Amino acid sequence: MQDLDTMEIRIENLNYIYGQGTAYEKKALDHINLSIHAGEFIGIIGHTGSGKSTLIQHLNGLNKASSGAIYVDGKNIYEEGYPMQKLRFRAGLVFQYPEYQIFETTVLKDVCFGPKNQGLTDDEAKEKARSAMAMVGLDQSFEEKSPFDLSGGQKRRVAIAGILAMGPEMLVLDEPTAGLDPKGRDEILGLLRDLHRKQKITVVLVSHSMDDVADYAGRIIVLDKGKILYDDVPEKVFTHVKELESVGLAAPEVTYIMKALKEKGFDVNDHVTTLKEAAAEILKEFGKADGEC
Amino acid sequence: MSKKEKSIIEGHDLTYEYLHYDDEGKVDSSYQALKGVDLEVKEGQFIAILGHNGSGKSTLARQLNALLVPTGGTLFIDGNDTRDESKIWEVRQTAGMVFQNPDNQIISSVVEEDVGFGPENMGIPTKEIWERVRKALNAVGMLEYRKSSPNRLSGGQKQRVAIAGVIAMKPKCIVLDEPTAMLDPGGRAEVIDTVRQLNREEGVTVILITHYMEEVIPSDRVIVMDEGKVVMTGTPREIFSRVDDLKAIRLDVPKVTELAYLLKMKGLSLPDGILSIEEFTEELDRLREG
Repeated sequence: MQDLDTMEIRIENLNYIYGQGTAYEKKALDHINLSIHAGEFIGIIGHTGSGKSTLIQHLNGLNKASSGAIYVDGKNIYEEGYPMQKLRFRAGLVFQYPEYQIFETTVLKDVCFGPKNQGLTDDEAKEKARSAMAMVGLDQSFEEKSPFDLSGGQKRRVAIAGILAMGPEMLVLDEPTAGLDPKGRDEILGLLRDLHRKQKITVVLVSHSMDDVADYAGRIIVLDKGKILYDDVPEKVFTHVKELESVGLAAPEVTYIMKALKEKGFDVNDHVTTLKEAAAEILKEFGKADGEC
Repeated sequence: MSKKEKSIIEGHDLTYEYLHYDDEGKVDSSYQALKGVDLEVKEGQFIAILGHNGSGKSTLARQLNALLVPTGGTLFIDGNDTRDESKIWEVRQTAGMVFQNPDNQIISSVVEEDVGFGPENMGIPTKEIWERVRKALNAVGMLEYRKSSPNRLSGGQKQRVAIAGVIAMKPKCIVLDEPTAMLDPGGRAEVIDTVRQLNREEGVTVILITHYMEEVIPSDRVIVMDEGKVVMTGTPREIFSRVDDLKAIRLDVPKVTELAYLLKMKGLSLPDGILSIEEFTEELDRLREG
């Protein structure tokens, strides 16, 4: 596996205004301050229109802030002469419904597109592509297939492989499970967890599923109308149930279940956010440790 | 419970085959997406359709307003055969469709004009159009955006405008194909609440396709599809009791149902098919006392 640098990002007082100076002016991001450390798995949640997609499109330089700075490894990307294209190879952005970005006639060719644009030879690109396909669980039999003959989940994995083939240190994904069936969702999230743990890729995930971010993210950032409302671990963020609901969000289903149990007098920890934790807590109450029958 | 006994949707041995054409326009392959589906929906019912991606559920949904017509078998919408071209507008008036991606459904540059587009095409008097537009936008929580340009709205806001556009036509039946897939939890709740209200208060028949299991719980009946066929039908409780069967066809159950199932596997004697947090806490309470 390639030798990864540690990619540290610090966003300082970032503001982004759509249509500045026109009648449609809208402040989409308002004084954003946050740091992303190498190896994190971050979930970004927020009501539709809160600025999530706008924010993540700054991470690879696709959007340029109206004011403020973004330091990548200590260098402000808005300084003159900053190698923006290199940033795009380090921070791979996967848009929503990424299968719409597939255009080649075979899977292998599509996955090779990125590496070729990095200046690799055909053979080098193929090697990277094959390695990326293996990472997403697409074996050699997929190489010559037309991407358009694949299922939605498979197409999505081809699109992700196309980004991985460029060797990013960070993967930023906008609603990667949108439109997939339950098993498809599990497969993609499981893939991200593997990439995070085994390849040590930093993962930033925008999602509308509270359950998904609770299960997979180690840190959750909540956006509300362009501002950061919370930035903490899931157990802490999801204690603010009423506040989250008031900004169009919710807590994970499990949290509601545990709160209801607590109100009924069960001595359980209502800060748990996953099914496994919830089951363990309840079993303890009934004097059965997890694993016994 | 349905108010009337009339069938608004009747499908017998419904089959649909997609044809793939080569560059010369000759059929070079075909794919059977629906393999003999029988379907009956009474007016006023709330039906949920579940199925993994590729199971045929979207193909089935598109039959209901004659976007596609059966290649085998029959489908009657409010007594009209969907293959009868002379009845196509009646069919489309009866069954309004809401898709997943609002960008494919919004055509005007002002929200209230987009919502009014349908009623206008129906020849409804102007005053009534505006009344319907107001009510529809209010029902989906977008009234304050009535003068906005749709391309300035977020995905969820756009979707609510698309739904308003269908509601404004007052169809007897609304078919929604994963309408909340692109929405935040607040938006999802609003859309589903709106749909439930239309069903309960106006008697609109609702066909909801979704991957969010919690949305299925208030339905009268659930139809589960796999590989182009209906493999299970029943009440939500009956269907969600079959946790392993559902997981085997790539589906899921509501979180509370799964939690109860996990605990049952570990020895707690809980009943199958628990659907609500209330039921769950009551059952655990009973175990604690008993």
